[in-house]
Amino acid sequence: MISSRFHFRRLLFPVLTGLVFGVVSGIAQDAAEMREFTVIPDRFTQRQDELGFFWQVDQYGALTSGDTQYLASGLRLGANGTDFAPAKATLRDDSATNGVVDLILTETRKDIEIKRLIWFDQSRSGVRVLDTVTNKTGSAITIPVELRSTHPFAWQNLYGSQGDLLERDPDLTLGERDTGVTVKFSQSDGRQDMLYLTSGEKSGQRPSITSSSNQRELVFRYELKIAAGKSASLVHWALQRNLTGPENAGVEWNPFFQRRRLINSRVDADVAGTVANFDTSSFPTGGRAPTQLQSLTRLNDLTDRIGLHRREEDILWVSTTNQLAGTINPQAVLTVESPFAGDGKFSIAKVAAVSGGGGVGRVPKLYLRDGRVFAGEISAENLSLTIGEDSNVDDLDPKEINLLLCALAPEDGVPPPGTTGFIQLRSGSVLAVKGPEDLKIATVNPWGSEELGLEGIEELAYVSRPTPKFRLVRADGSRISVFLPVAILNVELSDGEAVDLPSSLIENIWKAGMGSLSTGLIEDFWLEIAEIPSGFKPASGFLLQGNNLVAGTFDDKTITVLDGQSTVDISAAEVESIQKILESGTAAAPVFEIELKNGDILKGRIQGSDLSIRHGEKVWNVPVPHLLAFWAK
Amino acid sequence: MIFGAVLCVLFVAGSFDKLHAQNEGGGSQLVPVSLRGETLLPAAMGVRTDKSGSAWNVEANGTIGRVGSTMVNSGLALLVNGQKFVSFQPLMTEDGREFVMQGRSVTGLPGLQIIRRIRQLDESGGLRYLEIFYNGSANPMTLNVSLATNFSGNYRTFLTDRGNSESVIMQENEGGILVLPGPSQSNRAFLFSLTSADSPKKPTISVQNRYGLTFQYQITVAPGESKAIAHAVAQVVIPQSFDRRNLLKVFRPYSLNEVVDTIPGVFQDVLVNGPKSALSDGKSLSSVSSLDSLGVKRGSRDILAMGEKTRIVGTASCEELSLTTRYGEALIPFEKIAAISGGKQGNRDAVQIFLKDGQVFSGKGVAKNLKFALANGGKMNLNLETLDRLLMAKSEAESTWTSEAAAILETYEGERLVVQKDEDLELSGVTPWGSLRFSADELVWLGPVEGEPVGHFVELKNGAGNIVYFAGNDIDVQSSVFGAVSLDLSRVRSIITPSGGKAGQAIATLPNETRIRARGSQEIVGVLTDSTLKIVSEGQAINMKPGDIRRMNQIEGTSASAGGLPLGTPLFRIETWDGSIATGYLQLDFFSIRVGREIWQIPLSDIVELESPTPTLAPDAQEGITRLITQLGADDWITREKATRELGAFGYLARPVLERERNQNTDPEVTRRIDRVLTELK
Repeated sequence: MISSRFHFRRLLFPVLTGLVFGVVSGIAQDAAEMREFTVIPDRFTQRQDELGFFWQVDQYGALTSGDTQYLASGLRLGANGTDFAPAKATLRDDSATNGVVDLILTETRKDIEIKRLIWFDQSRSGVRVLDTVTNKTGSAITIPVELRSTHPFAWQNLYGSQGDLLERDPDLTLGERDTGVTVKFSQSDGRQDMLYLTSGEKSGQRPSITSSSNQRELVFRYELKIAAGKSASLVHWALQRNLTGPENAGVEWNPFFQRRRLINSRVDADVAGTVANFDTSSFPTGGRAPTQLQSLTRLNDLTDRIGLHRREEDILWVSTTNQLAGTINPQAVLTVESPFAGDGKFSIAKVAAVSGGGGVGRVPKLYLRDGRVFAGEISAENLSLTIGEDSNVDDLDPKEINLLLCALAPEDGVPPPGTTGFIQLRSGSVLAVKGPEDLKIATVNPWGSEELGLEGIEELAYVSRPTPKFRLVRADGSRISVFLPVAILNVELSDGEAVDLPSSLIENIWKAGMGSLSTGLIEDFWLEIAEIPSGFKPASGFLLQGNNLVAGTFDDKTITVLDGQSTVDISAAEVESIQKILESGTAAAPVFEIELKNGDILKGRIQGSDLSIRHGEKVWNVPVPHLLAFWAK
Repeated sequence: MIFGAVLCVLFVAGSFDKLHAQNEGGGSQLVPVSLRGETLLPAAMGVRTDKSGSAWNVEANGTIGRVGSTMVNSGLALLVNGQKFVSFQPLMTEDGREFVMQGRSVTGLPGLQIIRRIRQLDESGGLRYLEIFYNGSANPMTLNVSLATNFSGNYRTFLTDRGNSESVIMQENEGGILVLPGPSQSNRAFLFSLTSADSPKKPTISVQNRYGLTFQYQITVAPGESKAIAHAVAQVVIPQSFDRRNLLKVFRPYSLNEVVDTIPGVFQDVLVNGPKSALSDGKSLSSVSSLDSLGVKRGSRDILAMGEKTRIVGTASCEELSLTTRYGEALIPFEKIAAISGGKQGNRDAVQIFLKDGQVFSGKGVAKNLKFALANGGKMNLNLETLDRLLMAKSEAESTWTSEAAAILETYEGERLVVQKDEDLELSGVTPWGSLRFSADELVWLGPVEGEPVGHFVELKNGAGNIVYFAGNDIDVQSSVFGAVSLDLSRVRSIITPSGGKAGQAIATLPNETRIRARGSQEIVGVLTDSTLKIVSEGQAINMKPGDIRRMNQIEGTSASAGGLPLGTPLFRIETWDGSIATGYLQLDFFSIRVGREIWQIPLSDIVELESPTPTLAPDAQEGITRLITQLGADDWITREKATRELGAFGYLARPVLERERNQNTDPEVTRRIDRVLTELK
């Protein structure tokens, strides 16, 4: 199964970038496709999120589930007793590059202007709806707003986000800690569930909720008090999911709302102050460059797994259900002894997190803000957490705690000076290393060998499935399966210390500054040129068996093609592309379609046992049955 | 054969009490119902929801029943030679994840036993099916196996994972189909993963007016053998587009390559439609370079073949034939030639010479006075450049494996060289865990793996089998034709030794060697060098020596420490020789194992299974067991009971002695009590 963790991280970067540059308040002037609508279509283009659910927006700005007959009209907006009827729409489609699609719908009335901003968050598989009402009159007004969702089939039950049935009193009432509603259908009816995020737990206006007796229509109502010339807004999220039980809704909301904070809602600080259903503290301001945060790859991996996001406060993670937020004693000092990573003494200001022994002898890990991780014995001085004004958790022992997450800081993700790369060991330690001249990594692949400096490596990661190997991602776009033939690597750490590192200890090597590790990417078993994502494809290269993408050209001067009884010699320089024809030939004697630069196309077998391909300065002999495709500039 | 030492077997069909009876004698030929160590319970049937939220109603015979508005009314009903599979009491594994259904006898097919094993796929959702067929008769059986699905209405269409629409014959590289619902049906499509994309065994698909689909396989099961078909089904969100890339993404989690890990190893070995393993691929020489590829059978006379239909019988002669290859130039004695494939078969400048000792060479040939005498006395002058095929008469003395041949080496180009026994041939390559050096004497076979990954697979006589990269290394062989030849190993397709055809049967593991089954169907054989291990189970750390471990299996699930902090380390079920069982994670980065002269370090995530050699019993322990066995037949009940309990306390260590005694002892009281101890050990 493709991990949602990957998708999240892969696409979070551009999304966060959008936040930093304030995409929401004004449509960003970038390469995204912009389209203005003066005549609103019945339906806008259907979108599909990463989990496969369809979304579409109708002419009234309501969400639907597109071609699938499930959500007839979601969060349809009504203000002051009149349905929202947008007269203008702007679509900003940047899905090709970063998966962001915004739709802005506007209706101008005599006294108010209503703007609805819909963001299709493809990566997290959800839709954020931001409604803003602006008071155009000279006096304060109160605008009743309703958001109506209609389903073509009857639901089974309505639950709060905590998984309890909504109580009727007489209207439906959210539980004290509920932040939204789950519309749950019978497990056996084969329809997905609908989840709405409506409000913070204890802050902001909570909706009054009503539903129709036929269990098809659900209405959220709010009252917006708007001063003259000012605006008020509402933020909602909608998700489609298949829940095994309503109690699992909380897990689904974790990437969106956690510990009373909205995670990456792409709402500007100016707008956040006007939101009625969440208070301003629900919109963390961030402040760290997202690329830097993404550099803390190992810590991100851990927090993604537990579904927790670091914020402006320190958090003691006790268990999945218990977490305490507060302030760590700034005088705390941690001492660590870690094989290969070395020994060190660090002020808590340099620490991003401590994963403790959990009281069960687990090997503790110290995550520094500069990306290094020390797995080993950790001891602490003055490590305590102040909660509120006068509650303390004293004497936090790294051997006993589960996880201590330090608040975000500007130093996050800034590698130690001189660092060119990181090496992660199987123990979990991450070493910051210098290079490139001192570090050469020998690799072998099925066709040849290479010695690489860090400058040529984007990432080298060990993977166990389906077969154990390292996947090498090179700066030239090559992605090759390799083994490491040399038992010991001599590396120089960023602090100048030289270390002899057994290569069997290495789990991952990546270049400093990599936003996210790419080996988690979906590496389909590409068989054709067309299947390789455009961003992956080197300008000229080979697709070889075993999902190997090798940047390079032919070293052979000519290629001899056999077509039945006849042979044709063609100049390798004239070849535009080669593609193995999957439907013809055999594994041992494949048939290829060869397109020449002049437009001619040949089909046949390639004579000879192997092809010489030039990859950088190396020439490798590749057996013809290993060739799947070739393309030239 | 494979079931003999590993599996529990069914003695009497349908009798639950006897499902767990074991035959450890190695000669059992009965179909396995439960695996050794697996306890089966009466199944709790009913609707279950998988991780993706799809509901499944598996019925007593393994058919998928209708649930709510899903598009299937009755899915994957099993029919064998037209007869519907009917199960005895359905069973399930202790964790409830897998149903095990044993079929009633099939009319007209005496001796056929059928088991369906249906597992809910934890990671991706959906169901994995395993249909196992055992032929208990004395004759081979050809079975037409059908999997029939009826839909709740007309489906819209179906596509293969390669995007072919409504194809009734699956193509090479296709593995499954996606059935799209009609407008009145559910919004989820049904995905059927029917065969591994690289498997030659493809089902045919029968279509019944858009409301029914039947997948049909034909398999032949030899007497006393088992065959199995694996397939999977899932309900998936309909993809937005049906381009090949999107379809691959949808299919991938359910492809047999992915779900094969949920199939116990013993069943993987008998899969007819599973992923092409390295073992099946490389342990034979390529058919491209075999004499069979010439399409003409050799007989007692020489044959000149021209085109598809002309076969002229006669006698070929040649004054001198020289061949220039990449290895040099050599004169080839004409009497040693089995066949010549001339320029008309491909390149005018290259001929292929097949020698009677199994060697094959390609290159530019020059033949002086190459003639073919017809039976009627006529003569034809032949030219290698225009020759089609010439096959020499087959002599009785011909044999590929002469007494001097240690191995046959084949290149990707189709050339074959015989490696002589007196050569000191040593090869070295790199594995994911360290270097591997071996000699021709240690080798069973070496062959290509051309899927994922690509490289070579090496099987050694001690049972080890590993994926190896040879790039950059050469092999030096003494060719009987060209003298010393040096070859880049990346050009070598395979090396087969006389025992190559019997891979797996020449295992000669040393007594203290541990076997690790690693990912990618790899086997590592060596001596563990770790001194202690720490296993954390339910928050408790347990120290253990590697020698204490009898067997260790990686199990599904994610390890979490106390408090639920996920560790991302694999979970293992560990059995020790004293009968203890622990499930947890290891506080260890890798296992260190001495393989030949190297120490390999195997990351835990790579380990599927580990089996330790049986420890040698100390003489006093051996004496103690023998004494206790004698006491099993004592006159007084208290002594017999005490001896039974004490024997049980020896755990697995006593097993070999108990099994030997069980077969030899004639006292029914003793054998009954031994059975009791052995059953408890299970």
